Amino acid sequence: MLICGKIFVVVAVLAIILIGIFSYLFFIDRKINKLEKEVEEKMARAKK
Amino acid sequence: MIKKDWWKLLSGILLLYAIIAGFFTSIPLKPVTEESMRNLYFHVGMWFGMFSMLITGFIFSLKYLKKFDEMMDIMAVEAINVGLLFGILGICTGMVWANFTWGTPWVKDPKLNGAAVGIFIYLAYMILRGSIDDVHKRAKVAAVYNILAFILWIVFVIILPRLAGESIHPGAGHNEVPVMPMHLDPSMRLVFYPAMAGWILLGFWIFQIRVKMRKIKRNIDNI
Repeated sequence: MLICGKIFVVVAVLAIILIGIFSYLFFIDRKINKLEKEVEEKMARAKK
Repeated sequence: MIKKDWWKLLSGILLLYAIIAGFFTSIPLKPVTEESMRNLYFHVGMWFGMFSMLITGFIFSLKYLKKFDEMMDIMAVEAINVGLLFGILGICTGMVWANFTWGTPWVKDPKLNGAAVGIFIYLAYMILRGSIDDVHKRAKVAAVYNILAFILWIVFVIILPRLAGESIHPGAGHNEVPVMPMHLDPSMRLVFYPAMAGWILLGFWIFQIRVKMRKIKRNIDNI
């Protein structure tokens, strides 16, 4: 019933947006992990 | 990486499932709401995301007052930040939905007004934090206020609307719309529960990113 109304196009668009946002969050997460380590190393060096 | 972060992937899969199954499975059509009942997977998800974050903030504020560990204060404020994001999105999506079911974006209703007051209580938390310069004093005052805020929030959003008894919004009073998950149609429950889990996990993910961000900021300030 819903298949006839081309609702699947909307679902496909939503799915792409969701996957896009999640991949983006994932890369932000990775970047911030690296930054966290970098700052911690700098702090350790500054203490020496 | 995968070992530690599996729940992030799970959140994505659950929400993807919610979108696909949420649109494709047929649902029992009720008068007035009809197909818009599918909003349950998304609008209510905002509420679950907010509530899990507010509880998290509440717990970390209690923890802060126990040991006065600055990290606990950071966790508390960021949990509330994410909770506010979900709360505001919940109100906005609710207004869109209300406009099409009740004919107006805002109804003078105990549940809706309670939710708005709840948002203001937590906005006040942010303003309170912003107004105190001393770090330790700020953390202490904020933790005490946050505990109070959580209790007030429960009163305004959960207890008072129930006492008022006649809310147009499901989940308060006695109205026809099935809102407690156990009253939901079984076919909808299959999508509803995974969707809620997905939203909650997404909230924790954003929360974690924000905490890391603030930790970095604090470390930079300390160098």
